[in-house]
Amino acid sequence: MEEDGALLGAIARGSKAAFQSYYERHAGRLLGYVLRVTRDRSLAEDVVQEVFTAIWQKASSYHAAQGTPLAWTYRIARNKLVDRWRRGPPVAPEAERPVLALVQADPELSMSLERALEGLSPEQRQAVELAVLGGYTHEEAATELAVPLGTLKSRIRMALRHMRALLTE
Amino acid sequence: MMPVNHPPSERLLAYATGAADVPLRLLLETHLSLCPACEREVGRLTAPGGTLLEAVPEEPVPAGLFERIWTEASQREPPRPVEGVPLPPSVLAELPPVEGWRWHTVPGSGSQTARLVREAPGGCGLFLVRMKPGARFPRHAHRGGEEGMVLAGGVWDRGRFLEAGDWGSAPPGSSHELLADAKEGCWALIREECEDVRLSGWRGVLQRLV
Repeated sequence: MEEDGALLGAIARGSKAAFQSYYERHAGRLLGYVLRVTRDRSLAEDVVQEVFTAIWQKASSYHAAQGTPLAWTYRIARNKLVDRWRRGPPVAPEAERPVLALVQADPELSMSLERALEGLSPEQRQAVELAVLGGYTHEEAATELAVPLGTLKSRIRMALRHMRALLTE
Repeated sequence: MMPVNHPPSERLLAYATGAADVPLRLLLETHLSLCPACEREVGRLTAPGGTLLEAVPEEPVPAGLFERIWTEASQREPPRPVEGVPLPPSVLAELPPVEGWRWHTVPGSGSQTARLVREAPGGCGLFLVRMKPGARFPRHAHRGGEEGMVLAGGVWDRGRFLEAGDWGSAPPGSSHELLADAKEGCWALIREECEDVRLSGWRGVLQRLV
């Protein structure tokens, strides 16, 4: 993590070598995430290209106070994905769109949503983060969390019921 | 000096989750460049995203992707500050070149505005406002909401004096006037919903005629 911060510092000073190192450390993971959201490899590669171009341009604005370099990179990727979604045909999968729409539709609700997420058990929150926010299919999320598919679905169902209750209080 | 007035938490959350539109995102990034407290809060809100990205299985990266990226990135210089424009370089990098900004004078007020970003016709826009020392931006009404921040100097707005980094907002349907600091004047960055600001009095008549 410290190494990532140092690499961003060097990128801000114009180092191509540091830029390439940062790319080699995170491009695969970033492509994995974007691909899960877009379900389109060519589009995902374009988004990854945009994200790294933005990293090259904005590295000087990164400060450790804004979170880890990976969290900062995730935010850039989310913004690029949402920009694409706003500009053209939707790229977010069905699983993700309702949450995004919910947050966009009502800023006050977004704070309640954050609180509702905080109120979940760790297992429920993990299931929601992967299968609802992360763009995983239920099968992929079940594999990732090493639980039977039925257990995962039940956790999501319980989590959503709990969140719905909190959001409609 | 640290800002005293901050964006509401839900705006920071919208920024952290990618739900902020482009004008709001650029406005918040500018505030964060001046406000360590909000920067820390955004860091806290973004942390789950970093954890999520860390947990995502890697995909094989196609050969040649880095070269493609480098060809694109290397054509763009890392952003530099622009003399006389109090915006952070990372925000300037996302705006049209400074030379292309079209400044509009608000008649008889010592103030000028330039639209930097427009989401869509009738959508929200991002504006830069510069006011001479002691300038009075005339009373105006907002059909949509207004959010903004002071970039440099200071301004009186409804009994409050806002300085660099301070955040202010005006709800839909409200009206107000602004008075720039008598010595330093004021630069402000403003996000307008609906891009519909109606000046009062003779300036309003002029605005409608134009």
